[in-house]
Amino acid sequence: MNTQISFVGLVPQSGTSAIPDSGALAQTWTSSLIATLSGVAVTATLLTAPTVGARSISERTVPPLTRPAMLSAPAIRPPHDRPMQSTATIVRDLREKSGLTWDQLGRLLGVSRRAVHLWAAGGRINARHLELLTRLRGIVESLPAADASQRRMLLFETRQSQPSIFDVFLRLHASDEGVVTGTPFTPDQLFGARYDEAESE
Amino acid sequence: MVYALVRTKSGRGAERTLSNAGSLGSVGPAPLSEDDLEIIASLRQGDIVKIDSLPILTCDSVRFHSTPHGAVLLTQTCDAVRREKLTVGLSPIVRLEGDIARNARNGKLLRYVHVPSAGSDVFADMSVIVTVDKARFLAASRTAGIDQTDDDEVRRFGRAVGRRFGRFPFPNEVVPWLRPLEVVVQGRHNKDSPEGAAMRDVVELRVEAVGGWQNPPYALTLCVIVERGVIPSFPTDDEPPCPHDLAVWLRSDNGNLRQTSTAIADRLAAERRGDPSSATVYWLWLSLAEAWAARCTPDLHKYSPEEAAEIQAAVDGIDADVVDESGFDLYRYRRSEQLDLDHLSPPPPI
Repeated sequence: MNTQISFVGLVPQSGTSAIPDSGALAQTWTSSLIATLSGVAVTATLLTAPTVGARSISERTVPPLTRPAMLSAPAIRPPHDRPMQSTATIVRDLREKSGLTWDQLGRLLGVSRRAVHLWAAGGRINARHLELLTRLRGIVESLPAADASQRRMLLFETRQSQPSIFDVFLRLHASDEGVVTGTPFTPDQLFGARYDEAESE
Repeated sequence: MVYALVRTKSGRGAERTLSNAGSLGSVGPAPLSEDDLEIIASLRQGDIVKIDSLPILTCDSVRFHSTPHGAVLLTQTCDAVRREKLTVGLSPIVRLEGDIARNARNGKLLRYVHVPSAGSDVFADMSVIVTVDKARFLAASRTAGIDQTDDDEVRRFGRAVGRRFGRFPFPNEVVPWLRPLEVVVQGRHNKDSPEGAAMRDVVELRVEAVGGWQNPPYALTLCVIVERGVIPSFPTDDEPPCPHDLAVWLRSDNGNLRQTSTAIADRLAAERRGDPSSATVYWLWLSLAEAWAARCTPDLHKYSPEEAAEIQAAVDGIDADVVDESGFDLYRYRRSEQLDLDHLSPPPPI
């Protein structure tokens, strides 16, 4: 998946520590997150015209904000620019920065909190879980917040009928997991199904 | 369209006429009597019907599969008893001995379903399943193959029938990765083995392909689902600290697990005898599951270079998750598959 993320307008300028409007930002973030996790190029547009060639999903789904601040901040460093880190480091870093509980992290990653415990202790992790973990940390680190509690608040914040970032991640993760095979029939398919044609009128 | 079951003209004594291929297609208008309807209402899945053969369609004719011990009704009771249902499914009865019978009773041979009321050596052989008009055996003598008052026995029979057809087909190139677990699972029956003891606390092994089974490489998670209360609980969400000596024993400096599943299970058994609710037991369980996942490495020597390359490329890591049976949610259940693999060896000769 080729994900290119430009968070222009979402990250406070250097030296700006206050959160101007966390709700509006979270709203924009939710839309950006959808695009980000869908693997498309995103440039979140607040006031300025969109970057040429990078038409944003947020342009279509989120009304422009009216705050003139926070433009032109540098894009976050993509994960592959980081020095190589162990899984344990990534997990502990994510938990510390997100303020999320082990259980909440497990839910976001589709595993139990015990699996997250195990990863934090250096336990083996498959490639897909590592990818999800890294993407989630990238999102958390890019939240316009000064500390873990603010990031946590932004993760759960809803505004104007937009789901929270937490729930968007959950849903995208679910839809990303492909075909359900364990119990492949829906209630609609199961309830009132006919055993064979002989029963049809 | 409404169908009604009608008796063939040769319905009575059908077990005697089944060997007459020419009569198979003769469906006459003779209505069912009250006695016939009563018989149909009494049909039960697992019933043994005394017929001497079952018809199998070949390229240009019908041949008859001899059933000297009779045949077993496979159709679910709720469908077998309906008067508008024209047909039922039957499989021949076979008698098995020794290891084959024991393996079949233990669910190791999916072809056979034990028919317990008929004896420990009596099985339905599902390598032959024949659809038969009910009217064909209305007059045949019938005995119960399973104890209909024993719900567990009734369900077990039905599930054994369904299992042969409902298992998830793991991709061929993934099976060699999971095969090493067979040794661990078989150790479950070794009462003297700590690893076998740990495996007896496991109610189910499931495999998730994170991202789905559509395209390799598959990122797999081995879900070790244990009985409630086996893994210690703690008052907060915080991870219980792993005792230093245990951490050093479990992992090398680079974080890799350095103990085998057998060694971890040995230590787990010893710790559980002391304090089964300790953080040590908690971490040993997590590590044991990880060690089982670590065992999942294919033996590529058994394959051609091309096959080996394909197998090697099929899996992008296997991790592990230990989950209490009360904590494995439906979301994960729907996206995971029960680990149910055929035995490697060829079928035993019958």
